[in-house]
Amino acid sequence: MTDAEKLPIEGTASEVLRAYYTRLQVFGKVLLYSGAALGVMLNVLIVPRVSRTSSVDQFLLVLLDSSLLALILRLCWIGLHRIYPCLFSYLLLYFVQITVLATMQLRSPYYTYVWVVTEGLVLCAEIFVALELLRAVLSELPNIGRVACFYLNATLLVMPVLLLSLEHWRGLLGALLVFRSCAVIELQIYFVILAVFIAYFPLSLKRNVACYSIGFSIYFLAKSVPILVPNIEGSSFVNVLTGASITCMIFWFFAFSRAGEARTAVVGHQWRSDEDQRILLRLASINARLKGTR
Amino acid sequence: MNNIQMEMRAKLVEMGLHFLCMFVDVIFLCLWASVNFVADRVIKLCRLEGADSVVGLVLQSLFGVATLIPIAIFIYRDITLMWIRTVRRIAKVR
Repeated sequence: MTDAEKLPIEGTASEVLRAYYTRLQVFGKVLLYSGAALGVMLNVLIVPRVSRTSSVDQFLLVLLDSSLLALILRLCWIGLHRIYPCLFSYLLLYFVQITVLATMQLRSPYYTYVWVVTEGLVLCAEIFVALELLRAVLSELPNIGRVACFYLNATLLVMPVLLLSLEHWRGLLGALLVFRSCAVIELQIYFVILAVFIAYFPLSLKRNVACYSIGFSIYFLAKSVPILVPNIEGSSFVNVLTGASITCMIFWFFAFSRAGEARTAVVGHQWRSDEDQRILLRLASINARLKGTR
Repeated sequence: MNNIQMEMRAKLVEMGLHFLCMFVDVIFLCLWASVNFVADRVIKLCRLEGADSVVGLVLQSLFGVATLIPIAIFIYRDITLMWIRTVRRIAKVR
C-alpha cells in the first residue's frame, strides 16, 4: 500500500499526528484568509455608519486596513512570516486594532479599554520589530548587533520607568500615554541612527532586509508624527501621513519576495572599492573587539 | 488462532480504523460549525440593517462555504480511500 492510499489514522502515532496537524494547518490558513476577508468587508459596511470622521478619513482607513491585510496574506504566501515573525505579528496586531476600533462607537465605554490593550500590544510589537530589524541588518556583525540590542533594551526599559516616576500620570491610560510617547521618541531616534548606519556603511544586505529597514523607517516616521507633534490630530496633514503609511505597505507588498532572501543589495554609500574594503575591515575589527562584551 | 478468528480480527481492525477516521472528520466538522457560530455572533453584533444585512448574509454564506471546502475535501478523500479498498477486497475474493 502506498502512502497516498493510506488513511490519515494509519501508521505510527507521530505519522498520525503529522497528518492531522497538516490538515489543521490547511484549515487554519483557509480560516485566516476568509476570516480576514470577512473582517475587511464588514469593516467597509460598518465604518461609514459608526464613525464620525469625514469620507476621506473613512476611505483612507479602509485602504490602510485592506493594504495591511494584503501584506499579511502576501507574507504568509511567500513564507516570510516564519523568517520575520515580529514584523508579521506587528502587522497582524495593527490590523486587528484598526478593524476592532473601527467597528466600535467612539463613545462606547469599552472603546478606551480596547484601545489601551491593543495599543499596548502594538507598542510591544514595535519594540520587537526594532530588535528583529537590528539583528537582521547586523547578521554579519553579530557582536555589534548584540551590544546594540542590549543598549536599545536598556534605554527602552530605563527611560519610561524614569519618566513615569517623575511625571504626574493618572490611571492605566495616563501611564500608557507617557510610556508610548517615550518609547516612540526612542524608537524614532533608533530608526534614524539605523538609517544613517545603513546609508553610510556599504554593507551587503539581503534584498528583503534592505526593503524592510527602509520601509519601516519611513513608515514609523509617518506613524509617530501624530503622536509626537501636539494639536495635529484632525488636520489634513494626518491624511498625508496615513497615505505615506499605505504607500509603505504597498511598497512592501511588491518588494518582499522569496528570491529576496537569497539576493543581496548594497544600500549604503558607494565609496571607492579600496575605501569600501577599509570601512568594512574597520567594522569587522570593531565586531571582533566586542566579542565577549555585552 | 484459526482462519475465521484472524479474518474477524482483521475486519474489526479495519472497521475500527474507519470509525476513528470518521470520528476525527466529525471533530473537524464541529470545529467548522463552532467557527461559523462565532462568525454569526460577530455579524449579529454589527447590527446591519436594510441592504447591508443582505450583504452581511451573503458574506457569511461565502465564509461558511469557503471554510467548509477543505474539510469536505478531507472527508471526500477518506471516504474514497475506504471505498477503493473495499472494491479491491471484493475483487480479490472474486
